[in-house]
Amino acid sequence: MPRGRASDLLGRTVADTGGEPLGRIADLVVDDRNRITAVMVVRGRWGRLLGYERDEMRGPWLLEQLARRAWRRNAVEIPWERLRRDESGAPLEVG
Amino acid sequence: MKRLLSIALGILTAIGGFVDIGDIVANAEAGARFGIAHAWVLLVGVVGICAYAEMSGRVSAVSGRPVFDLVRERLGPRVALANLGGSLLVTVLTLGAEIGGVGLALQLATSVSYLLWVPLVAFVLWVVLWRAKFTVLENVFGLTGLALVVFVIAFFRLGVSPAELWHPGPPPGEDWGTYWFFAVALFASALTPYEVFFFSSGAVEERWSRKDLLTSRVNVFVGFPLGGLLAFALMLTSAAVFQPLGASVDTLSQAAMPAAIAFGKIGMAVAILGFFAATFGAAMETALSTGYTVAQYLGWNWGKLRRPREAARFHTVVIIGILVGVAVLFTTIDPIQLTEYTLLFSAVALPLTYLPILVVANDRGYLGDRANGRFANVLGVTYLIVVVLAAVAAVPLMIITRMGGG
Amino acid sequence: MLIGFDLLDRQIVDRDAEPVGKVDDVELEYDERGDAYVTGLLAGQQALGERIGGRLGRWISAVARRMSEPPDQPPIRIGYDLVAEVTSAVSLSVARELLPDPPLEGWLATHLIGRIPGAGDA
Repeated sequence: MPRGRASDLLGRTVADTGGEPLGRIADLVVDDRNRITAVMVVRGRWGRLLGYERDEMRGPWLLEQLARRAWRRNAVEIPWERLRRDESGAPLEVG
Repeated sequence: MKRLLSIALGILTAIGGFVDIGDIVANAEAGARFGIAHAWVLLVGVVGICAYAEMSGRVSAVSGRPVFDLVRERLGPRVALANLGGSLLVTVLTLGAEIGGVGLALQLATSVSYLLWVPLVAFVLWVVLWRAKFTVLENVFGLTGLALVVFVIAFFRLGVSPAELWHPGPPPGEDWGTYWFFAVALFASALTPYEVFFFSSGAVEERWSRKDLLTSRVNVFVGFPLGGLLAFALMLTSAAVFQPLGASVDTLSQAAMPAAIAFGKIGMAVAILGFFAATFGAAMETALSTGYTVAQYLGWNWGKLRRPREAARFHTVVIIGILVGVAVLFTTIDPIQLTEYTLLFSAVALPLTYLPILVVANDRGYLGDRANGRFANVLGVTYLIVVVLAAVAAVPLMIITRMGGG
Repeated sequence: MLIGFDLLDRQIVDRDAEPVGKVDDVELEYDERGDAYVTGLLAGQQALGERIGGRLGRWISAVARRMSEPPDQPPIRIGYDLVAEVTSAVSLSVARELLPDPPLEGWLATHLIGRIPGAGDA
């Protein structure tokens, strides 16, 4: 079975079917069977959210507002099945 | 008794970290040139280091993770690597300055040039870190560093009222540029990153848990204000002695002068002993911190409690750190001048080490009910702003004032 | 669980809480349907350098590759079935001794640190 690394996927650009970029992959969601179920795509350069994407992470108010604003405006979770991996190694697309 | 002994960790960190070569130089210089116009900066610095060290102590005790481990975990490998580079540069230069400071203290005691002492000091430093038990070091240097109390007593002996030494802003002959330059240097001398690397790594190594949070807080809230008091005494006595003369302080012997004026030869000897203990303690902390930061970034084994053979990479980094510090001194750069540079660079490097701790201290997934409360967060965010302002201002102030020359 | 947040850059510790390394990368395996599974953790400066990328990253991984014994080994891989728990650290169910030795540690322990008197004393 072909092997890869998480770093091959993280940071890559994801485009929609029209070729319009949606953003970069910031994180990969895994289920109990260690299977990747979705990718988190974030617009903009700063892919790290300092942990504010999780509910346990609250406050301080100022930082939380900044992080959550970036998160809400920019982040989308795309199910793994909807991703088409390009043979040429080109950006992932939403199929 | 055990609790009393564990407070020694806090006192060593505070004396070595708060009163190190940087504080001795910055406080004595600021006192001589500005009186106690910067006293408020010391207060801001003490509260800041208390808030920062309390958070990192709590985070390390509850999550078991030391500071640089979390820096990488929250900032990612690239930003954390840049941070590691900056922190390492500052820490190694500070280590050089501390070794030079120990050399200068020995020069005062023996009249033999500090440069001849440097290799010996570096070797003894390494042997101590290689062989001695940590609790022994804490007690020896913590207690010896208390000799600096001589400056507190000297102040009363000199009999100058603080009101005469106080003026709002720069005195005649100084401008606001140099005033703020010294404010940033004094702030940086209070909030040096290596203090926190050392403190949190010590907490992890001694396997602190939730039960030890009280010990951690006692360490922080007794140790750092005590260090701050000693730093203030240095500023006060230097102001009392040198300001009326319009003299500036740029050697370690001048910094010891107030104690000598108050108590003669004995005062001088006690002051030198205090300088020696404080700078040697800080040299140990900075040398270990070079190893801590690299090892924690890369996930290696680290620590004083392991056999060196089982933390070979960590001990190698510490040795390299000491050698680089010695090499810097052998360029014959004045250790006092080196100290001024490291203080300013340390202000620049601080925000990226401070931010991850503030963020993780709010992570309930890590800290549960021990996460920051409202008060800790108001303080934490206020200091985040102060730390960022100091970092942004440091280099421009350095250039405008030509390193505080005016 | 999130690979980026919960696994990458976390400290790996063995069952006695002794440090093993950092999660420098995560190994994935794709099945014939195109599904991806987490199958291992990669630790060591070689994997880290490849992940950081750029000139500096290439240099880091080239140095690490040369240090490995024999040279040009793939990065250290820890099977994901050995992971017992993911908290503020990634805990393994085995002792460190059962895992491959980090190359630099072994070399320094033998050639430098181990030769200094007292290296075996705590």
